Amino acid sequence: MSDPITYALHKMSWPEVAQAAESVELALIPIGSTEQHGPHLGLGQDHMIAHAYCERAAERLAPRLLALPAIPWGISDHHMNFPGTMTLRPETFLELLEDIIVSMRHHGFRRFLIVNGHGGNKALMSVAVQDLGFRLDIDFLGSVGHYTLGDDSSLKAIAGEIPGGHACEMESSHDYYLAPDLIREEALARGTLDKAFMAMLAPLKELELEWPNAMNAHTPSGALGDARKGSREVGERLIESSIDELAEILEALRDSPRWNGPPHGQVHVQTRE
Amino acid sequence: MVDLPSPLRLTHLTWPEVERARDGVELVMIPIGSIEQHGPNTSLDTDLVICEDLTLRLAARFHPRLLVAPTMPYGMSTYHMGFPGTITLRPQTFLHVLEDNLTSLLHHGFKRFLLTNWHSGNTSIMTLAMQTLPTRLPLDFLAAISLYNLEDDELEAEIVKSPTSGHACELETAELMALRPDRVKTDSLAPGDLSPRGSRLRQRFWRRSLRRNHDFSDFSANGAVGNATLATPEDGWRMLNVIEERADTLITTLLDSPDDLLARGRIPGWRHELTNR
Repeated sequence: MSDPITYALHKMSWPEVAQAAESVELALIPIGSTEQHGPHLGLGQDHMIAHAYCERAAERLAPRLLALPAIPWGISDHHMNFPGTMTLRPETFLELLEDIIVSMRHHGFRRFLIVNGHGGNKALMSVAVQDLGFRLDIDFLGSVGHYTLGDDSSLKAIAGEIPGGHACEMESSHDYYLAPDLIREEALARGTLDKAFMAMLAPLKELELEWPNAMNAHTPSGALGDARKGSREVGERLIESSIDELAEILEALRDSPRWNGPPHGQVHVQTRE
Repeated sequence: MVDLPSPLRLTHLTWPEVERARDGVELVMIPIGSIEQHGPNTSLDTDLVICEDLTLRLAARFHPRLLVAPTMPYGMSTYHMGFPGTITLRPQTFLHVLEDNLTSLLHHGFKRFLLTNWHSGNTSIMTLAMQTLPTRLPLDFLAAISLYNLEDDELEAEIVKSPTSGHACELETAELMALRPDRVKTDSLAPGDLSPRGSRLRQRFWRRSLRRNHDFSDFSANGAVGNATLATPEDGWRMLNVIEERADTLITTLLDSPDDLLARGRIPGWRHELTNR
């Protein structure tokens, strides 16, 4: 008897993938960014945590999930004033997703969930689900931010004066649990806030203006929240409870009218009458 | 300026009028629409005309400081493709059309832009455009307002009687009745024909920020959600007036915002700066 399969594509052999195609219900595509995370976290943060999350979910829910390799870059134009940040054009990102999905479809996988670790990718992935979910001959395409699922009471308990959201206590907690080598202990610092800019922004946001803007206008250091307050315990709680909820969602999705597609896209239109 | 027609609507101006208006225009508004099914109740251009009419009314209020660019008629409506007549763009197409519009207007000296929208399916592609187009174009400001977000919750609770609503419903139909009664199919108005299972899943996943491929026909067999038979033009005007007042405040606040702070928030123009180097 050989070792059980690890459901992370980059670690598998092709016969293992052929076997996995029989049992896997959903292939996970981790996406994130390569972008600055303040003076204290590495640039790979978002995609590395998304990938580690997917590997952990695939391990816990084996043999039903497959973790695909992460797309290491995202939509990060708003971080380009900080050295090291890289960013994709939307068309590049959409083509990458399409090529990954179509490749895996060729190998028998027909349901995909984009698992995101970077807030700046939200619009892109929503667009991807609308467009690729309509155009490609697959059974299911969804997207979710892993950090939006689960129980965040442990995070609320350590929240400080500056709201989090980037290079903050949530992200350092994720790192302590899944990628401790991304943390620069000696550089850990509270986030910064440009009060004049935030004061101008507030009434515009109140009136529903949507205006993606440069990160350095919010925080000169590139960090928000207080990364010093993060811990392995909080990280474990956030990640594991998020995977608990992912498992619940998986159950609910099996009841979705689109789980076993088609009808899809053009085919749907043609067969409607 | 007295000789400039109000509102300033690009398609209805001559080039000498555009030239005369240019220095006084502080913001160009670009209405974003859709060609998408609205049940048996209203025409496919419902979103487009509500967006366009409201934008023109705002331009008239601020005349001659706002210019209305041509409406982008198509949006992202993939999940309405289960119903005949709906047209949807690929995201690349949408971004390219918007980029070319902005490039042309930049060439003529306009630098600040506000997208106006009435179709929730467009919100993500608009955000993506705002995140990425400033890197390619030397514009000073690019933002968006989805005008339905300015609706008043209490007034909505008063007007909307259906437990679920939001598409070709009593409110949207009332708003269209007020602005363009000819687009309302008075003889075939019908409430949404909802599938309980589809609606339940929709609510559940939306709340959890999970997005998934779907078609509107999964939860409404006739394409409507809400009860258009209850619509009246009076209710439509009540809500439209609220939206217009709030949008007026927003634009006033925006035009009064300090230029240096707005500039600080600008997504860096690193791609076009690289090209121009």
